[in-house]
Amino acid sequence: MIPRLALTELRKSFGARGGTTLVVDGISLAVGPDEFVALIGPSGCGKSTVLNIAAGLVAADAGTVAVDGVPIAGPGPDRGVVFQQYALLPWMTVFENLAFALRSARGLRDPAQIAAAVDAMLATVHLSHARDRLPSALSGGMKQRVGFARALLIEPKIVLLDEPFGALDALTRAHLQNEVLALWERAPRAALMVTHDIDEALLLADRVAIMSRGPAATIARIVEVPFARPRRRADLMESPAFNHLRAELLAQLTHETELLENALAS
Amino acid sequence: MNGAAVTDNVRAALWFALSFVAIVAVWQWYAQSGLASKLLPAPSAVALNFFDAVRDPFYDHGQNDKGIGLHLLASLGRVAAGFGIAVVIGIPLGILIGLSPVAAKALDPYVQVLRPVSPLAWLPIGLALLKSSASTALFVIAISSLWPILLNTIFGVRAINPLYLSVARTLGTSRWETLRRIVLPAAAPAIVGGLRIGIGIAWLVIIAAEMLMGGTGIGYFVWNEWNNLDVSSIITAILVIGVVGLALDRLFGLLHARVSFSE
Repeated sequence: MIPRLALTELRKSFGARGGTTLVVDGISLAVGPDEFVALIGPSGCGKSTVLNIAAGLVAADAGTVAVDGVPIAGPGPDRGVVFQQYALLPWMTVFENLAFALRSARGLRDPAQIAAAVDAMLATVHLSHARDRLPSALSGGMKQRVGFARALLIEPKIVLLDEPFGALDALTRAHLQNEVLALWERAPRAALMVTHDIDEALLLADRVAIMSRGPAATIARIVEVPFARPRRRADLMESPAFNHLRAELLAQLTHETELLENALAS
Repeated sequence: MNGAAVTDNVRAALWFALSFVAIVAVWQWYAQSGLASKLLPAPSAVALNFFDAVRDPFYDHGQNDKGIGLHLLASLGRVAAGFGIAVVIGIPLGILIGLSPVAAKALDPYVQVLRPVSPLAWLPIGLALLKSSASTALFVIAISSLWPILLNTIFGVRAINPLYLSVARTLGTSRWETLRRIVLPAAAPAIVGGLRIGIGIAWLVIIAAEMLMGGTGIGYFVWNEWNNLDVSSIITAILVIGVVGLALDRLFGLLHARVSFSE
């Protein structure tokens, strides 16, 4: 079966004056249709670089990114991106932000058709009441709902999530994670999420890929998340299997982080 | 806090009124004391002249006797045309330079050398290029107000949050739509800031240009009244110039508030 997204032997160095640092070195990862994959790793290991390469925003030095088996060069609306910092356009209302995305990504022109699609999506993410507000009048959680709405509205082949809950406070984060979980279980679709939060990865993902310490990071290990869907956060937290897996991943992540810190210290 | 602000405003208004009365009193005394030239009018004479001029600003008794309103309209028309030329050149060129490092480097020497040149130095060049004094006035306005518009546009485009451009790229937004819906609104506050500085410069320059070019305009009016040794009319003109300059600045201040956004 052709994976929805295939990253093959990605390699990327960032050059500074007087030398370059190899950030990712031979990363390969596949995301199947309707599969949710989380990519976790210690801070600074280059996971966001991998996501940016998948999004086409950063060019890899070597390796390929393929969507449905077709290699891509550069960004495009076949991949919907949710940014950590929301990235809403501040001079457009919520509605205008979403309508702009629809026009750009799907070439829609009919205002009635656009309005219907946007309003339906706003209802899905419980934001109908904020339709005509500017992003500056929204809380962080509401902004990121618009971010999710924008990525889903353009009906991409895969959604790329760059620490989508990273800028939110703990309560808002848990609440939005639950909503995203429900959204995905209602309508599964391919997703690749970068995060450093193990709980978040285990809650949402079907598989978790752990990146080794950078520089020259690779995929250290890929773990199947065995919990049946629909999942409920409270049930998971109480399950011994969850806590066992969580401890195991945490140990590995701590190990990689220590290696990273030692490498940086020496 | 509101109460403190009100008190501050009341005190400021009081200080303004007091200082204004003091300045007028000193002026009145100085004008009557015989220390100044006989040309210097007393404030009372200026006030009479001012209300006279404002009561009937649009009379036209031939070339050298027109109401101040007609001169003002002529100046505003010139500023609008010259400033319009600067906008039409400055904003597109600024966006091009802001987006393209190569264009920036290629055009930088022109900008750096020409920008500090005094507006009046362009007058003879304008006359040589365009042969008519009417188009020369527009030329001088345009080239003087061009620089702040150009530089602010370049700055505004360079300072755009790269995340906004990433959004456009991931959505597959066309180049034209990216320009129209992202680059322009993102840079708009800086661009309008440049327009605001530019209109101020245009209004400064038009007076000087008209004094030299002659014909019509508030600058010509000042020059003409100086030839008539009518300083009261000149002071009236100065007040009118100041108020109109303030109004133009406020206009662009309002526009700036309209295009500003917070993240």
